[in-house]
Amino acid sequence: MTRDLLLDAIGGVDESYIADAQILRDGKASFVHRRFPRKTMFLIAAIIVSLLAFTVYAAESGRISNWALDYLCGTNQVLEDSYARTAEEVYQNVNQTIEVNSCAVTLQAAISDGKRAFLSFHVVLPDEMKSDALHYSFEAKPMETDYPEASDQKPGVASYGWRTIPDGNPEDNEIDLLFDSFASNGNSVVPHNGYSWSFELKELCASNRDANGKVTVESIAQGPWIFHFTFSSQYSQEPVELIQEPVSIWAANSLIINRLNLKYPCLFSIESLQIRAMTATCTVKLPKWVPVGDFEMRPITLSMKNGDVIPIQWDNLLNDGSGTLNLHGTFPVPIDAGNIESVLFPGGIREPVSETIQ
Amino acid sequence: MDDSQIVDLYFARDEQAIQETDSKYGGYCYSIAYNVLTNQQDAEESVSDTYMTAWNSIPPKRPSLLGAFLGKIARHISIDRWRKINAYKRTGGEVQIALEELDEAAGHSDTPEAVVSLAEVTESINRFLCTLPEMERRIFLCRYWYLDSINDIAGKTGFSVSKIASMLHRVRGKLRKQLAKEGLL
Repeated sequence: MTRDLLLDAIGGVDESYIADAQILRDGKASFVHRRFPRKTMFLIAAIIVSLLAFTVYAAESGRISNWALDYLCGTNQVLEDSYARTAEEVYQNVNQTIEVNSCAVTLQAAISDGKRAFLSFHVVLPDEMKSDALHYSFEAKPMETDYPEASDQKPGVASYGWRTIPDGNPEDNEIDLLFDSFASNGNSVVPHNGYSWSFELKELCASNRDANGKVTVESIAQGPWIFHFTFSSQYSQEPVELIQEPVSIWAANSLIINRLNLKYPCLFSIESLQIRAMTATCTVKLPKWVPVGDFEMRPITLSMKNGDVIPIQWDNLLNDGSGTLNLHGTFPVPIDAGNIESVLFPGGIREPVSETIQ
Repeated sequence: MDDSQIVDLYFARDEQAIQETDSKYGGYCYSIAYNVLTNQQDAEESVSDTYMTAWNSIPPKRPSLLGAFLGKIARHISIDRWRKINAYKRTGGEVQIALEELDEAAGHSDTPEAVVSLAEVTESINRFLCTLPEMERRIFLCRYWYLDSINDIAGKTGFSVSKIASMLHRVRGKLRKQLAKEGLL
């Protein structure tokens, strides 16, 4: 190994580590460095301890008012409306409906495919919340992101993200919410059999549009609602190989050369193409003359038996110079492998896959 | 403007995304580029290229940590530019010094470079970083990811220059052991 390779490899480390190191560069990290002499530190500590002791004594003996105690010790905010803060923990199975803050929440689907996890909720709001709301949204926050199955064996607080997919039918009084967990570095995040997973829904909002077209967002119920899930193998999907032999494709206009944005045709070889419920993995061989850096690959799409055409969206199309690239792709919706009729590669090459899957 | 709003602007193909990125992360990207290139004009061009690459990558990519995502691009572009500029005269700058230090961890085995892929080494380093104490990990990345000088790191941490140098020496030794153990040297 050369030192240049090592320098480049360090450049690709997980983004959470990079962001974390920036804390030190910003001077926000806590250090051992002593700014004051030891005696001064001791004096300051003694003053703080004395103040705290006095506060506790005064609170116990009723010599300071409640507001001051609240200020010193902190207090929970209580909402004035009828949808007051609740902090109950909810255990929920697939197809089970539970009620949180007068909203009926049904967990409709929970799928993991080894790379991403997918949850779908169906929420029915009570009539009094109806009004002219156009759509609703949850603010989701992962409570626990320590995936023991992650291939890097580290708790990946910053490695995994959540996003909500917009409600498909915003005008009704129901919400379909999809929570999508994925690993930025291609690690496995599959919640394996028996692994419990929890996260927090913070807020439910309604958005209303007035006559001038101005949209206002109003909070109508606040959590936190803490959901716990225990995944079983029943909801996990194994990868499916879609091609038997490598496929060579002329991906015309596929390459961006530096910032000149020049595009040239390029012959790629797709060595393997695997799909899972929500992710795809593709091994691509590039010609040696392709320069290191970003490139653009024309879309590979799945033709489904029901006529839908689903493109695979590839992350990080970056030629690292190794010649063989492992691309990670995602789907906008979960895919049922049994419903794929064929794969359409750039240049009109169609590869039937139904027999392979069977 | 928060990161998710800036990313939404990229997804909407709104050129304000570049302005917002520059306003929030311009200095950050510039500091990375300047550490590598030690030249104002080259660093500015690298930052400009960083924005273009981000524009072309988002969508479909939706970075969860926009700053780190941009920093990665800026570092990659700057080192690439540094290599072109210094193809025949590998002298000067923190990159050169960092490379000499990394020689220690890279080893001098007979393993052909082609056998070891960049991705494998990166994954190994990710695992290695996970095992390091927080302060050592941050200092290691400030030195070899951000290419900050040892003096700068000492100034930020309050540690002495010799303490930082000795800590880095120890971490490089650990890294070398791990790479050797995983058959990457």
